[in-house]
Amino acid sequence: MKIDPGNTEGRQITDTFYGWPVRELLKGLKEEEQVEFISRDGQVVAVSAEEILKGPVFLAKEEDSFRLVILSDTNRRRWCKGIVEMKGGEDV
Amino acid sequence: MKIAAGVLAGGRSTRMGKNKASLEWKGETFLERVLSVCRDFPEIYVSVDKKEKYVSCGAVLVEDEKQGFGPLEGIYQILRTMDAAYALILATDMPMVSREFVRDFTGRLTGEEECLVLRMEGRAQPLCSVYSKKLLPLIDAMRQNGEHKPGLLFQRAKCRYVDLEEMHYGKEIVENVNTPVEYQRICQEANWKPEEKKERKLEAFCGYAKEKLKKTPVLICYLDGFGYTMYRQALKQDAVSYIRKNFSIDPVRTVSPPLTNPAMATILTGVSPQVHKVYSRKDRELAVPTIFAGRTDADTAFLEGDTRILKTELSPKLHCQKQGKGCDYWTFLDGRKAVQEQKTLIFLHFHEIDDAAHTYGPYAAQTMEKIKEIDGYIKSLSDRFLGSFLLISDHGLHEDLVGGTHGEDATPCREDFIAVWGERYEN
Repeated sequence: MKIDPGNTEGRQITDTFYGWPVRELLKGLKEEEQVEFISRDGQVVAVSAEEILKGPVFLAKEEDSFRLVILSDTNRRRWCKGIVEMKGGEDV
Repeated sequence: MKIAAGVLAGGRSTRMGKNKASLEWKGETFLERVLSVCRDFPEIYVSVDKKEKYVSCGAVLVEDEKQGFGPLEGIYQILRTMDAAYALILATDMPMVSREFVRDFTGRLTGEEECLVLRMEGRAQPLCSVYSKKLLPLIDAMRQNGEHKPGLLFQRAKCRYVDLEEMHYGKEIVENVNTPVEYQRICQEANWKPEEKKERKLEAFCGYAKEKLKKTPVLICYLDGFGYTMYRQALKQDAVSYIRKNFSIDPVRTVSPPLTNPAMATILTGVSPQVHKVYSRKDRELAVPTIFAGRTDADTAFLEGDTRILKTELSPKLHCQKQGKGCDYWTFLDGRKAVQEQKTLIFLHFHEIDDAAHTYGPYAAQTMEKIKEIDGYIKSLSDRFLGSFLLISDHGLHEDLVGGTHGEDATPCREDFIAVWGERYEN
């Protein structure tokens, strides 16, 4: 099937997530700290408290776990799925 | 007194039948071998007939203006281009010359002479001699007169001669190889055959590192995404000035698919994906022990970027970007600390070359800048570390419509499969 790159028709496709800003979940974070997001499959992603406190770092609800969503990460490298634990800061 | 090194590689190699610079010698080409011997010199030049034939050699190329004029033309072009006061001139077809010999020979320069000429059995060796930049007018006059023999230059210049026999090196140090028969003979005498050279495989790295670990501390820098083709481009862009001078770098065939998870698992275990069972980005559990088995935080530093990729016996310390600095900067700082603490195994995983290559492309200026930054970290670590220093990468990348890729969503290319294995030269 040929695809015409000049075709401008189409719908805007966006992802929608429901979740929480991590800075509201972890109080008492100090800028020099880092928070580790632990996935059930063993992957761990570290994000600096500095980045979390700035704003666009979220935990989005996905079935029985959460997904890390970092809006500034346009290639989604750190958007880790299956998050079941966070380490760092005080719990709310 | 600054001395440059110049290698003459512009000859026609008519008796050899093929370009002598590209002949193999114990895992390197003749040219690579002589350049490696010259690595201590602050300026290194290669004189060639046509620059486009040698673009990836990693040294400054100077091209003959007078084609077919012989070695004097190459010497002239090197002297004209360099900043140094003197240049050691070597021929590319001297694979048995050594770093110790060139250091010893150039150490005899007093600064009074215009030529320091090596003599063997009473015969001057112009392609293993030192020339002063002050000779430029004399050599240019000879060029204009069509006088191309270096012997005439020696008659007219202020020369001092050093006999090889008084230096206590054998003749083979300056033996040059002109014909296939001579090439075959030196290979036989060295008990080495060109056809025995095999492409290294990533599976061999772990065992190699473990053998080193039996005798000495080991520092491993894992350069994610740093393919061999990218390395060759970085040489041309002068982005790896420290690595070039201080490490031997070989291509190494990575695993299939050429992705970080399975390749990293192979680096850490020494076995293929079929054995360690990590095949894709989703796989994190290893079926066999890694190099970290039996080790603790007391003797080992395992330093990662912002993501733990595999489940290993020892968990890595993670480093995220902050304060305007990327992950690799913080990984490097902790690596330096581990060196100071004299850990016996230090494993650093640098990610930002891969990040840049994905975003901008493997040969983009931004990627080359990132490589240069990592080259600087490696220098800083190397200045402080005594032991075996190894470099390894997991895959390369090829250019995509936007940025680069290596098989995650597209068919991998050859560039993706050839990674880098480096080892610091022993002093």
